[in-house]
Amino acid sequence: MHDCSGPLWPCALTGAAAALAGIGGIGVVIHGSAGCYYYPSSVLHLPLYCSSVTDRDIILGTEDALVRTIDAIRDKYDLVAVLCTCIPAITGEDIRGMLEQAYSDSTRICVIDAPGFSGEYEDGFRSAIRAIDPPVSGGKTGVNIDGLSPFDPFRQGNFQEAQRLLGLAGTVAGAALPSGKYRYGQPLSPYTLHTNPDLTLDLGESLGCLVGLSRIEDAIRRIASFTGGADDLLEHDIPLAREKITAACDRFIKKFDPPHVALFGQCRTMQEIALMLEEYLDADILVIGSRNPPVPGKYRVGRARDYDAVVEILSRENPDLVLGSSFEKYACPGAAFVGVTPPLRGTVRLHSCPLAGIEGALALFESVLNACMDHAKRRRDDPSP
Amino acid sequence: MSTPRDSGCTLTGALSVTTEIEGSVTIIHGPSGCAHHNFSLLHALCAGRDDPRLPRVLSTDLAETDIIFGGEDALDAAIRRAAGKNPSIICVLSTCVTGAIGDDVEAVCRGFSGIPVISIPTAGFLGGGFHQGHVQALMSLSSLAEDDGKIPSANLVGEKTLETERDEHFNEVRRLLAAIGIPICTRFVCRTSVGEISRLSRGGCNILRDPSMEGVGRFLEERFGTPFISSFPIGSRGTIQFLEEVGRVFSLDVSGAIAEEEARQARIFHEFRSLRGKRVRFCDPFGNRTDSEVCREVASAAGMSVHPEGYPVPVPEPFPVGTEGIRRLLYRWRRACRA
Repeated sequence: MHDCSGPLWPCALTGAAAALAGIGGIGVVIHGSAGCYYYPSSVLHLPLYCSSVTDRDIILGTEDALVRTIDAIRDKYDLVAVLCTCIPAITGEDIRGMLEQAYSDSTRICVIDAPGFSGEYEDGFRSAIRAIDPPVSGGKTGVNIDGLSPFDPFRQGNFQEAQRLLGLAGTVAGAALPSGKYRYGQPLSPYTLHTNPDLTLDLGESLGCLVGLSRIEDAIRRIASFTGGADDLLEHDIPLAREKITAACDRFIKKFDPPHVALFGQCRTMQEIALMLEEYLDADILVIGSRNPPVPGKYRVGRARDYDAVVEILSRENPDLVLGSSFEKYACPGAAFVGVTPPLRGTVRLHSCPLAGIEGALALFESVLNACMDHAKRRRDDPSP
Repeated sequence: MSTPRDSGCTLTGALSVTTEIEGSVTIIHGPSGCAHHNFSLLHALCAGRDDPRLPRVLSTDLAETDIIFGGEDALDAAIRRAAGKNPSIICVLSTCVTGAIGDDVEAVCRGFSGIPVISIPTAGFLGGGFHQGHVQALMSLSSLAEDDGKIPSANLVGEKTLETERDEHFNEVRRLLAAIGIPICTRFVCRTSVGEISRLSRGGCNILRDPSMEGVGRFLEERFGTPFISSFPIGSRGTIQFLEEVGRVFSLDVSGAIAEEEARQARIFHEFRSLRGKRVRFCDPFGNRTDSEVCREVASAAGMSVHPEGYPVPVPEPFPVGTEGIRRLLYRWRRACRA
């Protein structure tokens, strides 16, 4: 089937904008119509610029509009990243040649093809980072943190948690990409720690991922192998977190049945969360509804990039616990809900909550158990279906 | 630098109309990203209103091959799929992409009968942004109206359906019209059925949401001979003038309603008597100093004075409607004076 009903995941353009707009020293110009600017601007809350091409530009060429936009910002940035939307991709203008002629070496410009029709959010995100090619330096100390997308409501919490864990493991946070602590051109450390398994970047040697307690332990062991000092984390903090989660889940299971769960979000992240829910809560993982192209794993995965697909999965599987975005919350009001995927609308979020790291795992189980208990109490008070 | 800061896409403007038609399905003919942007924004709005219903929005999900070979077949298939959802109407919105590749959207839509299939040209690069899409959708949908005799009633035209206070604004206008015995014929378009749109020409007067809708007002006046009033009532004097204007259109004596409304306004200003003697200055939503004739009038009626060193009080955008809007404004000003 060609069409989709209520698309739920952003296009490559938003992915590219999310990858670059938070990096210091980069000015991001969306080369296209104003409509393409409006959404990334409203969800990323970072400075973005737009050439705002019109029908006249389509006929006469978009050079004037683009050059006018770059001229206005080029003095403020080390690099101007031009994200080409659907329109310049269709008209086939030679944007690189045009900008080479207009600026030669006077302004550093990077042109990135990110038309929405060419791919998905993750594709745009990775291709944008590849395009700016952050240099990796063997002499740089610390560990890079990646996967910090401004589109992700858990970004700031994940960043803080990764910094905390690196400190306890005897090292420091290096560059944090893309929207943490990184300035364009700054050399990266040769080691990288991932906060989002679906947005990993090939930047130096991977030390592992911070989603899922087992993964966290593996990552900390790798870090300890060269810092020699993560004993507290490995012998105290991680076992204590496991103990707390196990005890809380035990208390829950004494009173209630384990939940039947449907998870919706980026595939690898949902698989890691599902593994933890099964391990500690004996949850029955019914399905993972994947926003991005599915990857093989332990659980059944279906594609859930549009609202009709979500509704179909939910009515087929009938879960009593749903993890996902506010789309799923509204599509399945009868189930307990925990928000783990953007967007999370209709709720106030002020503090920096992590999904990654030890605190992320604890926060996740806290939310899951509270949601399940509230749901069970509601069902007990009002048993009607 | 041509970076827009305060407007949305043409598609968003059109969707703010088409998704308000009961039972409608809107097809966005373009890449799925265009539909996602808007679907996500509409979802945010519904969540903010605690409204679990999501509008039915379909994307033709064009990919690279469609861009090369044309997207009309994809649109045809999407309309067929939309028809399978048993909608009251199918609205088809074009995007920059389909505008640029030259798909004949109008012709594909004409190929269907039974359920109305309305093509609304909304390629985002037309340059008009949100407002252009809003206007274009209203003009396109007016083709559903049947030319019919007038009845003593008013249409509300161009309500800003994404406004947080949409329902409060509507309720206030309905209250004022009811005070002079004028019912509402059609809300064009806000929570409206296709049947109500078809009765659009029967309204004796079109009340526009604000002067930005005057193009639509003139269009409907030429088409159906319906006079229009340029704006929902704003401020105390504006509310009285609104009643007078509606009275003139329908040849009604509204003096009794005006006396009651003036008494209501007096009661409100008395309720906020603690503001008397306060010095205020007006600020826009970003905290910058601004000026507003209506705010000066309200401040004066409430016994306040405008002074550069006064308390900073907000000038809301959009401005609250009618006499009840003054009450809501004064609540905010009183809080600002206490802060």
